[in-house]
Amino acid sequence: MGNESTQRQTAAIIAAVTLSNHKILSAGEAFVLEAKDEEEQQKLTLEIAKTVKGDVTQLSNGIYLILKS
Amino acid sequence: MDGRGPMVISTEDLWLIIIAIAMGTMARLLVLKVDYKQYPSYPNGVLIHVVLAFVAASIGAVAIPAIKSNNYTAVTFLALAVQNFRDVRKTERESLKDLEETEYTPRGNAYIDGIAKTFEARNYFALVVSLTTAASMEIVAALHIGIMYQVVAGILAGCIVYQVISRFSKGKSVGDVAAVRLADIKVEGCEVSVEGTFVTNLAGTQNAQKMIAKEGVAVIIEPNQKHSAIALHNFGQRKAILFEATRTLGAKRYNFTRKDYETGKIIILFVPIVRDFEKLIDVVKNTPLLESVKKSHAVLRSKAVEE
Repeated sequence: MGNESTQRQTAAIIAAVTLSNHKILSAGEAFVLEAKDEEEQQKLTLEIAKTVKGDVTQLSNGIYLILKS
Repeated sequence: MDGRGPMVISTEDLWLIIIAIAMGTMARLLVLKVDYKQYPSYPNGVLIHVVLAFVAASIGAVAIPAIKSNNYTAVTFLALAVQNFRDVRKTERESLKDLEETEYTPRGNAYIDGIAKTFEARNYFALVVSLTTAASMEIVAALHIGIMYQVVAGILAGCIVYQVISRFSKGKSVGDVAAVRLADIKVEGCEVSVEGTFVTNLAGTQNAQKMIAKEGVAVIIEPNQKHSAIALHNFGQRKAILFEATRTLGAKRYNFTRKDYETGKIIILFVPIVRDFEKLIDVVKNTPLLESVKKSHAVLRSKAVEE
């Protein structure tokens, strides 16, 4: 594994932006919100990312995650 | 005699001290040109180091005349100087650590340690050069040779010692152990890769994708020999390379370093403010190979053979 943890390269998930077809079982400390369509999902993601100065990644199932390292 | 008679310094000693101080300070000045690349406050930083070098050179210069006058306690001055230079290292480290949060990317503790050590070592340059200059001038004086020859001998000895120490303390840079070249960035959805190696998937927004694809630059560092990868893969070393790259070209956003375990390549990717590829390659090549990560391949090999 190396000592990646001591090198503080990890990022925390700040928020997840989902659609109605996504099922969230547990979100931990992340803030989860549901958008009504893909356009709104992208818009919300960008807004949150800009606010927290975070980075964004999209999962293969379409969920957007906002991360902050 | 007004009581100051024995205190008056002889012309020979005066020459010895002046030449030794000048040689020591000059030795420090000659290596200072490398330092201001690593130091943000160029005018003040330089002044501090020149004054420190003068002090170091003075200690080295007066040690020989002091011993000559049966003042053996003068040697303790050298110990005091060493303590003083250690403080220089400590101050340097603290000041660079304080700056960490304001830089585009942090230098990292390994790089800071290397810079601080270099600053300390450079003061010894001044001390040793002036001490040698003074000693050699004294030896020539003991042979009853004229003052001009003493000066020439002192300068020569100082120059030789300077050459020897500067060669000894000269570290390698990334360009000595690896080939550095630019590479193409590929952005596919939120994934960014460089020549087939995954770098990040944090380009989730279209803004990020456009920015990285249009303005991003990537550099690949390929170790010339397999064992060079040991030093280059070190986290502190990669941080140092990224720091030098972003400090030279600036960084708008996004900076990543990745290591490819299979090929041993290192990838540096960031979005610079100024797009100057030549400078980028130069700065990566000239990033020093940190002392703390350097391994002696010869020692490793001999041990392996023994086993």
